[in-house]
Amino acid sequence: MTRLDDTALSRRGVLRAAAGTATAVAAGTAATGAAAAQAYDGWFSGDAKGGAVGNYDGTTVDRTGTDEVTIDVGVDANGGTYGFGPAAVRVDPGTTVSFEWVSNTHNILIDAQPDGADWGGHDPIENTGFTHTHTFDTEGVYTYYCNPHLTMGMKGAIVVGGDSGGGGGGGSDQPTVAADYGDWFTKSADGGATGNYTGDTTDKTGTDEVTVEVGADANGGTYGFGPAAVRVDPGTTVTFKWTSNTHNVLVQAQPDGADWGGHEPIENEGFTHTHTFETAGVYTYYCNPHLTMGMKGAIVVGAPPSGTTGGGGGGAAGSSVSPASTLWTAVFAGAVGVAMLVPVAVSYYRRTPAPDSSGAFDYEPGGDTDDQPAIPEADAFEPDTELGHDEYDPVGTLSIVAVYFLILVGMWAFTYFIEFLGNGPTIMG
Amino acid sequence: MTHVRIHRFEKLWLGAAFVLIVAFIATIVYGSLGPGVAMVGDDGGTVNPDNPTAADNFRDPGVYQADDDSYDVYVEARQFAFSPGTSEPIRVPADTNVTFHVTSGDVTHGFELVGTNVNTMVIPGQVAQLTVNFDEARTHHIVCHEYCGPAHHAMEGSIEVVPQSEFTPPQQAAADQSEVTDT
Amino acid sequence: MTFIDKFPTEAKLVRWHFGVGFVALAIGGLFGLVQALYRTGHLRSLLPINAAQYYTVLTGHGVLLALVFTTFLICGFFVWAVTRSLDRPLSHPRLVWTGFISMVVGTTLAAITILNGFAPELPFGSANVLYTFYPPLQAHPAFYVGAALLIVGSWIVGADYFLTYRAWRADNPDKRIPLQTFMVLATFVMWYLSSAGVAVEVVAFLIPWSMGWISQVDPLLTRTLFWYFGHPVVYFWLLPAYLAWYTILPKLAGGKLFSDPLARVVFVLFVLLSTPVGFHHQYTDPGIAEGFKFIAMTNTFMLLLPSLLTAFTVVASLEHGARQRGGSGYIGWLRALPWGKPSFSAMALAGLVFAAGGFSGMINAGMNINYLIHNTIWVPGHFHLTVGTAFALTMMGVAYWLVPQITGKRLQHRTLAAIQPFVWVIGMTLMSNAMHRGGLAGLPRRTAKPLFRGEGAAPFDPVVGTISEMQLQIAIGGTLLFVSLALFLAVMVGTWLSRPGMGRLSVNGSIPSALSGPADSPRILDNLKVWTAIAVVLVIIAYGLPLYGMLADGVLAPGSPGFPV
Repeated sequence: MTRLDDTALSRRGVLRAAAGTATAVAAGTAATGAAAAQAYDGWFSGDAKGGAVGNYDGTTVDRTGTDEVTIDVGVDANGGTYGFGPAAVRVDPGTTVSFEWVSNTHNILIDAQPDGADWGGHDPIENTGFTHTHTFDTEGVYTYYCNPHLTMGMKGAIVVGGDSGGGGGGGSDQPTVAADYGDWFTKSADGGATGNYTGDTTDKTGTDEVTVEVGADANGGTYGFGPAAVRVDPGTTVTFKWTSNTHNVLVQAQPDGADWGGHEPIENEGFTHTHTFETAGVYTYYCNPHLTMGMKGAIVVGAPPSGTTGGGGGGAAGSSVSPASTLWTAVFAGAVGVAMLVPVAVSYYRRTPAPDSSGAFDYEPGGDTDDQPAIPEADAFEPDTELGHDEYDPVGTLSIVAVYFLILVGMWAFTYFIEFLGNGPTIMG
Repeated sequence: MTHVRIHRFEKLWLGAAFVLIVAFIATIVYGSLGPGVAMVGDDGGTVNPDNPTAADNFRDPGVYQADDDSYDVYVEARQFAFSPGTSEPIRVPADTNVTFHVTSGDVTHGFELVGTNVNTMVIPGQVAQLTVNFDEARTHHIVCHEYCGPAHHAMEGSIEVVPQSEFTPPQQAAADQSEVTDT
Repeated sequence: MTFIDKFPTEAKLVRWHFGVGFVALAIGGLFGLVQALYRTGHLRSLLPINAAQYYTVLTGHGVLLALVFTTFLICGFFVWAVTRSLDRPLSHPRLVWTGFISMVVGTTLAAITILNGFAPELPFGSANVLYTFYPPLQAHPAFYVGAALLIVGSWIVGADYFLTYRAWRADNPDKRIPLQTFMVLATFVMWYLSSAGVAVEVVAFLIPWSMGWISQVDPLLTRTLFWYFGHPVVYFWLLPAYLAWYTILPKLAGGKLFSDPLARVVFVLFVLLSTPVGFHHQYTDPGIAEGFKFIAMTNTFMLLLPSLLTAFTVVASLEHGARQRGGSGYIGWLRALPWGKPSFSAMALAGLVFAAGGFSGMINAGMNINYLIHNTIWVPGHFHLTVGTAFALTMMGVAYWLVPQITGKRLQHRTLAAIQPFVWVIGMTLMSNAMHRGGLAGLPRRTAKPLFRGEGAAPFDPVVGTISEMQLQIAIGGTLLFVSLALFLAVMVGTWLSRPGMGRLSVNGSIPSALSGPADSPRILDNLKVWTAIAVVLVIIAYGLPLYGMLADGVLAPGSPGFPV
């Protein structure tokens, strides 16, 4: 039902499904049963009940190792204050989770929980400042949502148990790649120091579409890649989106067998370049005109070495604009456009007067001058019979308005006495 | 002063028009005197939208019994739920005078019981006060009919009118906002 | 002499106003089609919008059609009417250009904020507030600034109508005001009095509030100021249509206006009664005592009088034309009318549809019966008949007749033009009847998905018909309306692209004098100063006490902060 509804305009199609399945399978074979369920079975997408969850980025935040965890209810997300923060979290069995309301009009209703679990959620609508707590003993996946904002995508999930280290990345068939860029981001390498590289690699594993901004504010102007360093899963499609002018993407180094060509021509704001990174390893790249300013970036493809938080399953598939429907829309719009343009084209063609059109001439407004005549009008209508004021009695009009009067009276009586007074309970005071 | 020359037919129509206008106004006056239809007015008073329950013209949302056969229902409308009404239906007994006090905690909403004439605007800062007598035991669907944001179309609730014999009076301590622990 | 030859500067002003208005009509009409298909669920999956963006489309549709298209068309149309009836050029055309530019700038600002709903990369923020922009929902300040510039621009344009009249009066001290100019002045007197309300709302409250200079506004007060303007604005739209029906339509029918004095009486009644009725849009508002609503109701019903009188006078004028063309019988004369002429049929059909729209308006006005249909889809059903047909279709008819005269070009694609009004009426009949019946069943208005809850139509229980059949009629009707609009635009663009001087125009701009002329009416009718004074007194009576009550507890209290949307 909700294919297009309530999602941002994103194109998540076949690619996402395939990539999502690949990472989910890779994650699942390596981990325990509880971890495999991290795919959440599409809970965060728009295919489940409610809207797609904008603030679920595919990762399950790891809050194991502590026995008190807080989840904010009503964080800024999904077009308003319609998010659980974080949307998906993993905790140890026996952890007490505190749900703290940070904005108004929310509740917590349970979608599903493991057999034997006894969490009741919190039905009544509450406002900022309210707290609900529950100690999660039973292992498994709990999915929950906020009822008034379900359509906006206010959904969450808690995973209780499962191994806490290396989440989705511990499998033997998942390559681990350390985020080692050497001195790439310093000025010892080509170009200037990259001011917006903080030393951390932004973790975008677990999602199969990642965007890197080209020309972000950094390095004394709009000379940055945002983020400068990012880690993705193999098979991820990275979209490089130009947000300012005069940049390109040249590849400095990439793993053996990788085939990324970058984008050599200089482009301006609005341009996008995409590439699906299959080969694991470290890719470094830069923008040529701004290399000296430090406009450099790096992409690490592959799981981090053990000890860091892994990604969740590919469950964040948004509802897709099906290829068929965009085709139909395009066909329909095209047909309408053509239909409207045909008469216009015909008129344009008619600008050249036909050889036998009478009275045609080159015209400038201003009327009757010596050089050119004015535009002639049709003659005024001369009636066959002239009806003066005293000889005219509008009997037809009288008949018509008499009928109209009767219709008005009848419709009013019907609407007032039957529709209105018969319409059930009315406000009496 | 020149006299306006009006054709006699038009004079006739002018008279008919006046009759129509008077008849319409008379019907409406009848409606308020006979069946006793009253308009939502300013009897609900005003509140502070940030804290509606601070004044005494608005209490914590819920159903309260006023006396033997009258009840008060306090409803707060927010983006995008009625409280009560959305997560749990409002329950009132039939054949009693139910007075709704409706206000908004954020933007302007609407409050209408579909298929009835119970229909009001819900404006932050104002309390809409309306008294209704439900003579039939059935469920009514509450809809918000004033645009209030992106999920406006999903904002709805329900009210269950139950026979008096089946109705259990509400706990006065309902909707305790200071509740912390919940299992 | 053709208008463009006699008054080339004024013709250019009219062309530009009409041009901008038609662009707004085209975009707003497209949005309407998207809405009809989305809301009814037909082809919803093909539309490139989501539920939240439906409200962006709705805001665009309302603003572009009800505020932009109308204001530009009216200002341009009135330039023609004043110039033609006084038979002299405007005294300060630069003033009109200034007003025009202000309106264009304002429209552009507002349009950018609205389009932000689809493209957040655009400058300024978004304005998904609908054309009534009720606080505490808050748009980006550029939206409110744009609205203010639009209104103020129209004031500036209007000033030149009065200045031109004053110049004419200096040369013609004893003559009665020609009827068209009288109508223009009366409309604008009412417009100045009524748009003051929304100007105060926007300039004194909404702009400072959206800029963050004040932290809260009183939603009830701002709503009341809006509806102070919001009812008379419909007469700002209707009176130009009446001007066309009273002065142009009889000539197109081949006859003469039945009574000039009664036309003046009608317009005077509108000057007096248009504004003190705004509370009938707030019948279900808390915070306003029932007594004030009752006064608004009686005033509103008095407003039926000028419209019912118009019905008689206009039909009598048509009958006069029909009989002069040889028609006979009680009703048979209708067939003698020139239904094949697009300018005639558009205006006449618009008048017929207005008779139906007038009835649903009577229900809306009926204070307690308003409960039945308040904020249901009956209300859009009503106003698509009135502004959507009586105004819009009439203006299309005016365009068919006037555009050749202001461009010197023959109307192109006459066959398309001839069928266009009929397609409009068929589409409108389907859509509007379903909307009225849907409203009686409780379907809400301003709602992206009225059957959202997946119970389907269960809560909405029509007595006659089914919800799905109504939805289908709305979808089909809306599509036909879009087709009709496309036909109209094709004719206009085709005419615009053709060359002037390709031959004799097939329209004639002269307007015969009325059967019963202005000399048959008291001079006091022309004394707009008296009528304005009385109108102000009536407004004070209707609004003085309630506004005082709202201000007395604090100009900004009980106040709400903004909820950006």
